Amino acid sequence: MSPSTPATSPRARRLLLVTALCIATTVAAALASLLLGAAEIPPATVASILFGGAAEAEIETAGGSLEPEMARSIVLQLRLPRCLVGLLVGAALAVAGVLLQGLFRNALAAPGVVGTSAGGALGAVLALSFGLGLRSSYLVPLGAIAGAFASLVVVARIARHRGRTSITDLLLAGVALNAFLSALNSFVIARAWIDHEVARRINFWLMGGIADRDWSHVAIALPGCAAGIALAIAHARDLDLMLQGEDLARSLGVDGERLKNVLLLATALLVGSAVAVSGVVGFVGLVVPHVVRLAIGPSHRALVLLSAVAGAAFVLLSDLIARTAVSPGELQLGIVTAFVGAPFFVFLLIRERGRVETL
Amino acid sequence: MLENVTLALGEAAHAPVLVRDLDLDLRAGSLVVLLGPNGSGKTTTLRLAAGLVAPTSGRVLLDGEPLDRSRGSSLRRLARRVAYVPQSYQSTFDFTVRELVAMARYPHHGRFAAPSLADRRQVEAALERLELVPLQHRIAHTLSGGELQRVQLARCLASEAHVLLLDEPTSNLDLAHGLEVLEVCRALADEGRLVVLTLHDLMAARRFADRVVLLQEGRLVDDGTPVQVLDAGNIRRVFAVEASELRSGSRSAYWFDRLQS
Repeated sequence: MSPSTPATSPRARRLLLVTALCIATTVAAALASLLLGAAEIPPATVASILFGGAAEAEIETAGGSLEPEMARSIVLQLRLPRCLVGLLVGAALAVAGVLLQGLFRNALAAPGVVGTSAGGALGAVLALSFGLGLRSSYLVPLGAIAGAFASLVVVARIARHRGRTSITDLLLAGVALNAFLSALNSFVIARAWIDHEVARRINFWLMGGIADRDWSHVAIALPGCAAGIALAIAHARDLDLMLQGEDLARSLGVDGERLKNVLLLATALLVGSAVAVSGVVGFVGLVVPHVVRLAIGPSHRALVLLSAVAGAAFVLLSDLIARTAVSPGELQLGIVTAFVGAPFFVFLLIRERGRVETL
Repeated sequence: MLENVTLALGEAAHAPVLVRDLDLDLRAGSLVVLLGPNGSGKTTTLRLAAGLVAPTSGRVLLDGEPLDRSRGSSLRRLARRVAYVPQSYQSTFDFTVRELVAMARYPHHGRFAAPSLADRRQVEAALERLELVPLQHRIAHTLSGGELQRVQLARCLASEAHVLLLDEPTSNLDLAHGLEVLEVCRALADEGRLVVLTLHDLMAARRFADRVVLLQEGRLVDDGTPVQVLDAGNIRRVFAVEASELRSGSRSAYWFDRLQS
């Protein structure tokens, strides 16, 4: 601690460091996801493709085995949208985790834990199986958002009792809802198998992850993610106040009921948009907010912003591992995030238990 | 100011009534103590005054205007003028003392705006006044009850509200810390604010209050200076104890015996 700046808190100083670290990691991960892949395209070529201006003739490819047009299309039509979808999905899931943990006043709440992702998945599968996905690709995310919202309302009703959420109730309600929604999902998919095209679409989507995503997926995810994150930032301070108790929050100008509804809507937008393009990718919304909160504290403005950046980095890095670990094959993104996230979840559970016992 | 305020739970004619026909005119620059046994309506009266609940009938006025809690912006405007400290308080997650005090400034700035220099100065001043500077980076739930109560007072100060409503601010404190909180409240009233406390300690009320409001089952029993209100008759009627006053010079204390029914 430097004695010359006694007014700056250790947290405020760490905030700068963590922000720099998060942004650097995300940029590095994004670059890596653009540069690495089955086709070997030199970095300089990727750069000239990305930043345009370069004439076709200037594009050099490794060994000359790749047509310039091919390289261009690999970078612009495969790698770039995949990278952007990864950024959006990571940011959306992490911010959704921040909002859920704040809403339920509980560090164990997350989209994958309390059934929000499963609700979104069911909404999307229903939209696909009724053939709505064939009519307009925007109907699938709308279905996912509606499904996520419905599952949130159900869990909030079950788990909240007199303004507090018990960890046990929340987790049990989440487990039950997850199982129920998965069963419904399987049922709908089994029925949809009659129609080949619909089945193919569901199957592709159910694979999870962000492989083979194109610009249409970016367009599908972007509005909901942007709206959800904007709502989260606008209401971040209100969430700080809510965590001090509803009476205190009200006395500091927060309409609690309205805030809860806004945040449930924001969470549904985020999770629904993410699920609509990437299926169920677990543990992002659990791990990222928690690690960021440990680093910079629980003030939600910084927490929302940095979780968005860190979530994007987490998904992109996980995707890189998924692409390269068993090359030439690919792992599913969800497998990688679960590999990191599940042990972390158990660690959290043990830590929270220790806390309750010492109260 | 509370004008013929009644608050009942629910609409039905037999719904339990928390506060009935309460008429209070509270003036700036005074320390008012609400006294009464458990369930007499002290907390409800504070919550009504803070605009946390709306009266079933009657009006709550602030500076001559009815409290308007209809929209977010009016809630925020109210939050800049009236500060409230609930009886029990538990913070979720690890907020620091400084972060908690800075929350008093939230109603002062816009949704996307960063805290201004003026905001930061108010927070600094409040921390200094309540001697919280050495504790400012501590996590709130590692503090003692007395320290936490000082944090709440610092939050009220930082808000620049001119009405402070505190629900049993001394309930979990030892003698010295309880006295400290009351001394701060006294000083804040002397500076021109309206400070309203609920207490259970009759002697503290007698010593620090300008005015005592005695409540029983949601009704006003008496309202006046501590010496007027806290006489043996009122105490016997409301608290069911026999109070003998012991005097020593200008100081006085009570000795209480439970009434045999």
